Amino acid sequence: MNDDHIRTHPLYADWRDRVLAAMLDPNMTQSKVRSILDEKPLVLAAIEHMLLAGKEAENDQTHP
Amino acid sequence: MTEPQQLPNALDMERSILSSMMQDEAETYLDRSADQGITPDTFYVPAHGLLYRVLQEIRAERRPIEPMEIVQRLQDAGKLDAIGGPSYLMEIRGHSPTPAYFDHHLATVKGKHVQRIAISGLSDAIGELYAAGTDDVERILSDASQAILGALNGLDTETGDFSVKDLMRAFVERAIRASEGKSTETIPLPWSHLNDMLGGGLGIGEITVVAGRPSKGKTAFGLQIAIRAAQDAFPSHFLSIESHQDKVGNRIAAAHGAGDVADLSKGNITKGHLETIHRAVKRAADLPMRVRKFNAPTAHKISAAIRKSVRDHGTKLFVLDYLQIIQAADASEARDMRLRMNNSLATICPLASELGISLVILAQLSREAEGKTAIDLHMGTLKETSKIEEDADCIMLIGDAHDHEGNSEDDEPRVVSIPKNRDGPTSFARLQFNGPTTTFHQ
Repeated sequence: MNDDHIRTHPLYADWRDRVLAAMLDPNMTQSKVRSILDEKPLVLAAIEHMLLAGKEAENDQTHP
Repeated sequence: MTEPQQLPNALDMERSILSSMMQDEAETYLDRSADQGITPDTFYVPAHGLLYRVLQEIRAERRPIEPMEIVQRLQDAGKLDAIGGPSYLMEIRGHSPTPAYFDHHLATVKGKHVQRIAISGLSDAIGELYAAGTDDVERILSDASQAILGALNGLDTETGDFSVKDLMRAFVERAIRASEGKSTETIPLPWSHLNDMLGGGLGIGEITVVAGRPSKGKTAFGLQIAIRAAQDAFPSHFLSIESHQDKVGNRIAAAHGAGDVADLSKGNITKGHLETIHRAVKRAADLPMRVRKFNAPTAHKISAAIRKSVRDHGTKLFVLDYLQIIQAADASEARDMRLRMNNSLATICPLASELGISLVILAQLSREAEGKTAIDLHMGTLKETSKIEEDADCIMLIGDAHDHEGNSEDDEPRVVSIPKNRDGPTSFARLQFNGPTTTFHQ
């Protein structure tokens, strides 16, 4: 899976925006920021799953 | 007979702020005026400008601002008479200072100065327009708009003034990029093997020239670079002289998975395809990217557009499509293509380092390159100018591959030759050009 496909995916952009917002929010606690940062592997796995599913659907259409 | 109209000025306010500065025990007024960009030239009366310069010198040497010191310095410089002698100095000092209105007076004095700059720029343009040939009109108007933009910049005291919150936001963005192992000084291209050759991507402050014969995909290549930059949070601007904005819109949608956009012109879009288009548009719509369509611009006009885009949108990457169709600024450029190219590059290229942006200039290769594979292309095939070779930090030439092996039947193999690469070795990279989506992929 190409790193570019993951980093330009809307889900990844959404996670990145949440990290940015959390780090700049003066009311955000350290543990909440950490829990958002900890979501990264889950986000990456979800994107990878979606990209693979998309590729399989494409293959099914090409070779019915 | 009517009196000639006087240029805008605020003489009393000039005296008032100078008076405040001369009696300024806390020595804050000079610093405040310097913060506001006041220079000796800001004053309408030359004597006031001269006095301001002397006050600045005394302040810089951290000596007390007192009348005898001022008089002595002016006398030593032989300029005491030029400002009206000691009596005029005392008159200014005695001008009742109004500290409560200092900032207001300062802003007014500055505003009048800006008005005078604008009037001078426009008057020059009007004078030139009377005598101009039709070829000169574009350049004259562009110069005038530069003068006005310069004046507006002078008024905008907040330019370059950032809150700590803004700075921290930018810092966190850079930190997140760095946590992904990405440099904040290079803008990545959509193709990883090209990024590896270029040391991570396109450098800030650098100029990249992408050249090819017609129909080899220059526009598609440039657009993909602009899109990829925007996806990576580097605001980008595609400056199109050649393609209509709808055509550019088609290509942006295609690059986001909108399918074969040629079906639009055939009136051949199915319900399923509309759903695909919906998904693609959702992905593309929020990109920090702009498209500017020019009609026959001169290099001056393009330069003004770049400055405005950086100022208004914080743009970091520009793609210009393409060099050879920039219009001549005057009759001599119209006669001499080489002169026009060189002057265009001389106007546009310095902006990269001055504004801290990355510039991608698309260019056409000469007929000599026709039918050659990319391996046989060389910098000499860049049409009409050798100045490109000097100015560009990186040159990429797009040509056909020597074989015809594509990844699919819609793919046409291309090779990008890099004969100049300031950040790495010269080399070749293979890409596939997909006709229906007008995109390059590895």
